[in-house]
Amino acid sequence: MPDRELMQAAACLPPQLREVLRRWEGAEHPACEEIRLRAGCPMTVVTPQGEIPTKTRPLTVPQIQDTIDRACDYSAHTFAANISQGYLTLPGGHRIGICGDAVWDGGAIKSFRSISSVNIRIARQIHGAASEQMVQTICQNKMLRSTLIYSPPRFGKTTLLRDLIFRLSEMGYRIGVADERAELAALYRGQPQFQIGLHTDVITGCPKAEAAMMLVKTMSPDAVVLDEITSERDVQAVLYCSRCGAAVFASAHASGLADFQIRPLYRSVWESQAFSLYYEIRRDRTVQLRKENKEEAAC
Amino acid sequence: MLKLLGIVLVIGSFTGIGMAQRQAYQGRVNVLQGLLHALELISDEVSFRLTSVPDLVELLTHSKQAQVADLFCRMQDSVHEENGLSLTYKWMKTFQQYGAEAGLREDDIRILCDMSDFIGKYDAKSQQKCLDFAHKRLETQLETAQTELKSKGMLYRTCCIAAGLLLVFVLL
Repeated sequence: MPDRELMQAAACLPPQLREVLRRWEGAEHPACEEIRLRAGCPMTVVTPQGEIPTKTRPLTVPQIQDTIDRACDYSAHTFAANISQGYLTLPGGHRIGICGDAVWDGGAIKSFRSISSVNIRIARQIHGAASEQMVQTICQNKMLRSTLIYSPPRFGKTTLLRDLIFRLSEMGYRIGVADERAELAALYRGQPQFQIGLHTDVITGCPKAEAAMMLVKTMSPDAVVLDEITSERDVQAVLYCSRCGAAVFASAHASGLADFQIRPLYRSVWESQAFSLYYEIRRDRTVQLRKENKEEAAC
Repeated sequence: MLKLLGIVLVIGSFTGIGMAQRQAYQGRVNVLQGLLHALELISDEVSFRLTSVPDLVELLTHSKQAQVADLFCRMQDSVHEENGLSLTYKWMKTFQQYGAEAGLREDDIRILCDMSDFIGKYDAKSQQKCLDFAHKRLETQLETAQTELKSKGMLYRTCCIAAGLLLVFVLL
């Protein structure tokens, strides 16, 4: 029986490629992380052991385009904003990264003239990614403390943040998620594709700064979640939310606390002490509390 | 008594033929009107909600116009069929296969099939322009159908009744 998540992610592939994947010897093991399609190369599957080529002929550009057409339900207009940002969200929360010949218009990518490669990342929810101790540290005296999780890419920040949302929401806290790239809740036709708890509200598809402000104004959350602070607008949103009485849970790319401190973008966040807790995810996926500001919690 | 029954039968059947012919013209007018409403709905949904094509098809299965609803029900069935064919191809195929059954003529069907060249393929603005063009083409078809209904529909009905009467007189 092939792995459920793998086949769910593969549903957007043309039938012949899907069949190859179904027959692939590793299909039964839930170790597959990504499916990669590149024009002129055979389809490959990424596992912890590396990128393994499958028994397919070199792929053609129309085959890759067909995959994208299927992924967006033959509705380019519906997913135009996502495609211009180079990604698509699939049912089940799986994501497709897109590369190719981009159409640059008005200072931004408008679409892709041709798509040369795609990366289908298989999403898996990991319950228990956030330890009991971490949850207890964040909820002190029934109050939530603003928390930042940092690590280099692909260390599991989003997975940890997602589990944290689920745990806190199940505990009864109202969580507002500014899910710009549909990574945390992965809304698909209005339905979260991951378990995010009973008390979670999600805004997706718009810049997270705007979404966070809207959540604070309209949903009165106990905490606002922003995945990956990457721009000055995001920093402003963190500061805005923390001043409005909502706790903020966010993630950032940094190799260590020193790296985080020296980045000009994060300076105001650091100086304003918007976060009470700083967690670092290490290469071995262990999570360590690196800094704790002893001030009052948010709610 | 038998004669009277024969007269009624002959006139009745000829009138029936005439009415059926007129009904065919009326049917085409109704379907075209329904399709024009459908295009307006597609246009609004695409521009305001960026609704996906499968969702548009689903919406149109609830059309008040029975033939239009039936066409989109068949399309929805084919969309759900996993046979490796693209949705745009299924769009075209549905109109080609069932368009005539719904009361459409070849040139009406061609306009609807042409929509598969753009539906779901471009951004909302570009699709809007193409939808407007398709709407105009269908409006022209509707005008023609209404003119035909007025002239030929009436003609068929009158001629058939007259033919029935004539046959009665001849037989008498």
